[in-house]
Amino acid sequence: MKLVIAKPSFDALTEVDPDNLQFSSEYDTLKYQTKGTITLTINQANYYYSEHIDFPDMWLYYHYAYITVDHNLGYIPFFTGYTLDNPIGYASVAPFFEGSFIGFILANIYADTTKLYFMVNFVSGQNSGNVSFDFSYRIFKNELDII
Amino acid sequence: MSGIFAISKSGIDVFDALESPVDPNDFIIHSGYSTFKILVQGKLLNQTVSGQPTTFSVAHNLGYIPNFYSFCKFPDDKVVMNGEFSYDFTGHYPASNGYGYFVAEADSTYLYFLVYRNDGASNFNVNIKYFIFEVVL
Repeated sequence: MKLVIAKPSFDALTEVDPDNLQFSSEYDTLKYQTKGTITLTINQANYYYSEHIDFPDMWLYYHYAYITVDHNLGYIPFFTGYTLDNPIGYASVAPFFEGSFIGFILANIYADTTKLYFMVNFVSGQNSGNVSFDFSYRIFKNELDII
Repeated sequence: MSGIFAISKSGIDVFDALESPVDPNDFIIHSGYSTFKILVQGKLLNQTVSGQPTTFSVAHNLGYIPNFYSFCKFPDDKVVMNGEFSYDFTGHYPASNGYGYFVAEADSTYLYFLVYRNDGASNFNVNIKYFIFEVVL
């Protein structure tokens, strides 16, 4: 037995192309678990590497930090996320990467069986002051099953 | 025959939710909106990354470039999305930490999973999961 809802003008009793169906119980779907937003604040005094460059004459400071969200599913779920305030000024599907001749900014999201990890790795000319990065995320119940 | 099949989310009265304006976010399923169907899902386990990059492929044989999504688990037990470095990546010239980098690509016949091994890293194994979704619109 199956449940099929066809798109308008298609016959649910005969249509087999999934693109012509609103729903079919023969296909799996993503099941929502939760969503949220989180802010990662980085103290630029805590850089992990520095170097001087001659042109332009300046010091570069390499920063790395992450923040986590518990999902406690006990397995690695299907997940996705966005950076909300990247340097270009728009929301972007993660991962985010932008580079120039003196540096880069990289924002990644990871998962394991208990948490999502929101990581930012970037280079700036600053070794003091805080910088904040906003993420949003979606977690689905679908298990990746690749432990 | 026209009609509506709808199941609202917990705490939302389905009849109230069907009153205009309808918010599709109020429903688990609503026959007026197409669900995002997973056509195929699969995994590649214990794949050895020995090259720069190492490419793993899966034939989908759909005859068009599919709508796909994929994940890769590195030996640190962290799963990355397409286009991400491994969890422990920190990068600065001349050395970078971390296992490597994961990229997924597709053509009309195959999915390709490229895992870049970081300079100086030894061979390691990864697990890859992929989803192929319906073509929307």
